[in-house]
Amino acid sequence: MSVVVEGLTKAYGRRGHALDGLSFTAGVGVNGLLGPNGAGKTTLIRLLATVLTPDGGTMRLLGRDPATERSAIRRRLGYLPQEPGYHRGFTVFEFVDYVAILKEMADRRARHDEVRRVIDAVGLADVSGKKIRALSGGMRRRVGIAQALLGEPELVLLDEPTAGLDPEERLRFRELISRIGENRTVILSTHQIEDVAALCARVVVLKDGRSAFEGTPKELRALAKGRTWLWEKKAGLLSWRTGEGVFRSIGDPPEGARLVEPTIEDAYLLLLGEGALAAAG
Amino acid sequence: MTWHMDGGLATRYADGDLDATLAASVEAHLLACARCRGLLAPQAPRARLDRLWDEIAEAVDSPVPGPFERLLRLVGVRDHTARLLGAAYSLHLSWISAGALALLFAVLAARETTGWGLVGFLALAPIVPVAGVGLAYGRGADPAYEIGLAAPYSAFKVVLMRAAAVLVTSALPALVIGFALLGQSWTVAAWLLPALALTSLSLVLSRWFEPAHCALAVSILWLAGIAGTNLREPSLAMFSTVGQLGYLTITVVSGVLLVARRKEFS
Amino acid sequence: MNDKAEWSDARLLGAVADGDRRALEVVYERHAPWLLLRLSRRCADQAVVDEAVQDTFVAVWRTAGKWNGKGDAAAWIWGIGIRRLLDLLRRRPLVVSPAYEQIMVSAEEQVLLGVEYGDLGRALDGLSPELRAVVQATVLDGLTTREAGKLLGIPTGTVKTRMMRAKALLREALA
Repeated sequence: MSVVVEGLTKAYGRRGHALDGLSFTAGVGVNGLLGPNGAGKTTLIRLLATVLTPDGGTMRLLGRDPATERSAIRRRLGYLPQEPGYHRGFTVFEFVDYVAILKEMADRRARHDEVRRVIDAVGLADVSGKKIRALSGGMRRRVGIAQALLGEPELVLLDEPTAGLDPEERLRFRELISRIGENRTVILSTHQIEDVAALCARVVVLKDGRSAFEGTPKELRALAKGRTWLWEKKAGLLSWRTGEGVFRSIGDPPEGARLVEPTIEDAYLLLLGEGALAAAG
Repeated sequence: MTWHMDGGLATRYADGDLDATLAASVEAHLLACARCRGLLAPQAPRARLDRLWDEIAEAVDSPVPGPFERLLRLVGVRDHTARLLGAAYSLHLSWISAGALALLFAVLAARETTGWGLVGFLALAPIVPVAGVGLAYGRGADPAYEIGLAAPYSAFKVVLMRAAAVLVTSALPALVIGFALLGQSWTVAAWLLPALALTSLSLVLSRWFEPAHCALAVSILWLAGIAGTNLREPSLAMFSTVGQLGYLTITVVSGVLLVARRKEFS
Repeated sequence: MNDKAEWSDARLLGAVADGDRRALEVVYERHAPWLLLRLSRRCADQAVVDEAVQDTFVAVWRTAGKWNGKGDAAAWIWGIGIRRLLDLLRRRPLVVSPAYEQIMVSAEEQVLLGVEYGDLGRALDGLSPELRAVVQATVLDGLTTREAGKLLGIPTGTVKTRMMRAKALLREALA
């Protein structure tokens, strides 16, 4: 396993814990990290990126301990922050080249070849000479992914790379991310449940700084089996009126409700809903 | 146009086997005929063309260094280091010249009245490098800061290099202005140690706070000290020998602290 | 692999001016082969030709916005290429390329159609190598008298007089 996390805690300001005893593992392939805002996704990604240090618990990244072998981990890591900044006046090439320098690629020619490779990999070869400020939001995001691929990292951390993208761009990102995950460990933080269903081999659902679920998307969906139904009345944990006029609900079904095949979204809502109820009770 | 090359003619042209007159025909025709240019494409040495393209791509892609970067390379800084330094906004020529200009105006404005001009200059001169260092790195000054944090290149090294570069480039104009406009006495360089003390202090503080905030806090502290000692008449109390020894101590202690805690810096 | 291979030169150069690297690659694929071959006929030193070709396309990248869109892009590229070669040769101690001593001349397409077997061809063949080189540099390669002079290592005035002599001889031969 490339990522092994046990009992991870991280305090967040005075508000309490962003992470509160989180445990999970992740291996080669795309690993989805689902959770509502404030569940601790970004904190976790930043811990995995060695930008933050944990308050408690243990982490092993690529078989190493970040407390003692941080540089060795960083050399094999690619990281796309949630809101990556870009130098205004830089071209795509210049920006990626700048990050490549930060990744200790000193030899100019070899570095430029690598920069060209990653820019090509994300399909930006056409615009590599353009200023980043002239690019669309989706293209900028791809610049962010390009820099995360520099130096063939074994662990790639992507914090909400598809947020705010239009549907076509998102589909293109799916293709790109699944390609990246073919031979390395990708941790993809997202709140696009369809993305997880479409490309993740495994998924971790974060809730209040803990893991509420860990398994395959199929297993996640199975959680809602027998607990998703259609009925004339509003009932259950969560319920909404569908276009056909009946209510689709999740939770424990009443007599006479018509059970339907759940989606991953149903299961995800069920997980969050149950917890929310437990917290309220 | 009715006349076109055929494959045989293309081969003979490429091999240089055509007589002069025919070759001239071919060449004049080429400029106007895309089809015949296409016929020549397979005749050109592929490997050579690919090698040339690699060179062209490299030339086209290579970042064009700004004036500051070129200056750095000129004095022997390696190109990737120059890039890291040049990416800091406060190291752009416009910032440095703005700082120098501010000093110049301070000096010109206060030169007439005896004493105040010198104090004003000595008080302002250390602020320029402190502000420059405060704006040379950190979340607010470096758009790619977060990415840089996760990169193996030592953030500490970047911070120190940029601070040193800012110090040198902003101290030079201040020294020149001081000596040129305020006389040859070494008093006009009395701000050097305070500048070092203030920048190193703000570097130490930036381990906990935003660098720009640290620079601001340290500058305010400094100006308050100056104001306090200059309430009635111009005084160089802040620049006395004791004071200078104090700045030296602050600089050394800060330096030791920085090196000792460099691991925590990123 | 990419649809830009189908684009016209004008559209490609517009994209290049806009910073499109792929467009430059297509322009290169299309124009580098003939340019390389033609420049090779002007200069025997491969390294110099290579450098001229490189410089040409870097210049195309930087100045594509300045192409006025009139005429064939190939002519514009050739203009850059031959001048780059000229610059490079000028920096070398040995200036005149041997190729210039024997290469022939033509004027415009219509004339050229007849050059091979026609009277003009014979007339040109009748010129001395010095006169032919001048006609070639100015008419075929599109250089100015000054550039031609620099290339051939003779003063501008000499280029002009040789050109006049060449024209007179051609008129005589064709009369």
